Amino acid sequence: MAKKYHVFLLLFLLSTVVLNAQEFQINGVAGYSRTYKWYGGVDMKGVFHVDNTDFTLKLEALTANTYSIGLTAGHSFKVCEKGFVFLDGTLHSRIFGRYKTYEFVYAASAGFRMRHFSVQAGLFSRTIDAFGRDWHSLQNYVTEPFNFLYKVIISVMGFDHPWDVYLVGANYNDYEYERMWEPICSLGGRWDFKERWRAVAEGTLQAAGMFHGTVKFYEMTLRVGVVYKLK
Amino acid sequence: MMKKTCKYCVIALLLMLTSCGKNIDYMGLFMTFNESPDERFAQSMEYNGSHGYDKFSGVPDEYKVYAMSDIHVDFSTDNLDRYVSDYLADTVAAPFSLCLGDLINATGHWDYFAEHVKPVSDAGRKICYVAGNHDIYFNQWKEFFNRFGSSTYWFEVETVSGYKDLYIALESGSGTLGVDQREWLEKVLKDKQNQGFRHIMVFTHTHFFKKDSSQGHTSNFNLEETYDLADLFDRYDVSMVLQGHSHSRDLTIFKDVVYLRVDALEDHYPNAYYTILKVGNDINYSFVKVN
Repeated sequence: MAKKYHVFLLLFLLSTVVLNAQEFQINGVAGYSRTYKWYGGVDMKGVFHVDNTDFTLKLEALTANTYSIGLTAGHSFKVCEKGFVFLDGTLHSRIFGRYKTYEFVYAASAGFRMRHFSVQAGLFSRTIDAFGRDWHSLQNYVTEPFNFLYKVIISVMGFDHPWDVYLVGANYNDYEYERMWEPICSLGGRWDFKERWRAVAEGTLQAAGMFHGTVKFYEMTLRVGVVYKLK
Repeated sequence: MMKKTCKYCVIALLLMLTSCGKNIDYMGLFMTFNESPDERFAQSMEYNGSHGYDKFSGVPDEYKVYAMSDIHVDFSTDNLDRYVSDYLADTVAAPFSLCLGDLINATGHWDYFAEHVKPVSDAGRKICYVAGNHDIYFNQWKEFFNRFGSSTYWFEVETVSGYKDLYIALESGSGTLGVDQREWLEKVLKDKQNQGFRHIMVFTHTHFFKKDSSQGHTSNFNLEETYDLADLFDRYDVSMVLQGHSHSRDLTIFKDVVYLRVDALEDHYPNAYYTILKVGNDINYSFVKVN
């Protein structure tokens, strides 16, 4: 497993250098779910600004033999003194090694952000496939084409404040796209403790059976890490 | 003015969420304090321990299994009555039929449901049940359990020529099997692996895949659990997984396992069907419209 992490880390560092990243984030991950039980992992994020467009590369490796890779392109427009409209497009893949299964997600969304509040909505499509599939069979992959994508963030101090506590309600995050009625609720904080450094922590909670009348706990995750601004 | 409006909105929302709504458990949409899936599973195992597991012998090599789902009995039982009479009139049907959950719609209709399926047990046949989310919310698991017993169990079918089929019932009313039921499932599949079963059939309430917009109002298993169970069914050569919950029919084949989602039998539903499986060396299925 350690070797996998080293390869993963090297790949990410290489791509951040080659692509000339402006910001680099690394998190440690610990979690418990009804399916994996206890697991750990690492995730990394690099942000590249090209003109007014942000490209965000996201990678995650979990001890549950699950890996994620995603690339988001986002563009924002100022529409009033403190308000921005933003558009996001994402290609995302998650590989579940232990289940010999992988998925591709194609997502598009639009949102509006003010100082303390951000709301985003869109659609995503998911294709689920198995390793070693018979490529001459049409019946062995599954497409879930219509999924509503949503994210609401409430920031206590404001997105531009040196420290903040925020609440997120969404059915996706940087590393997973859940089905539309399986929301991921997060409570997070960040602190710009030095000129180029920021500390981040985020706890997430996911339920099973939401909007089903029989909600029960499914998963909790804690991510703690740092962000380094290269430029 | 704005503050006042907000305050009244919050009070109205709270009243709505905590009110004794007859048909929707509003609080249950966001949180529940009743039995966890692990606790329900433990009660099912206790029941199995004292009642044992069924075996249906002397069944023809090719037999018909009737299956219904999402009956949502409220104030009428027209479709349920039609199902019961068709099943009992079919002299070559298996001595058991399957019910994939959501027997009732809200609260207080258990007697009504039980009264209308009584002819089945009177005729010496059996309906094998699993609980759906509607059978659990409003703290109704106890009622389901007291009337129908275990919601996690298996039974065997042995045909006249000695073919054996295994049926496994899983309780997924909360949209998850829970840790203990998941472990039990793998143990059963492992133990039964080399016992020469012709088919292994799984039946449960919550559906696994969400392929179209017909399921807009229903939730599924979380993704990791979907992939985990799909892998388990593949590894242990499960032939078919029967599901309900979404009220719409679907057939998906993933990793060579057939996932058949059956229609709702609910009264007043514009397309109410029940399903008949013909289980022989192959498994065929047909759908019977009841309204």
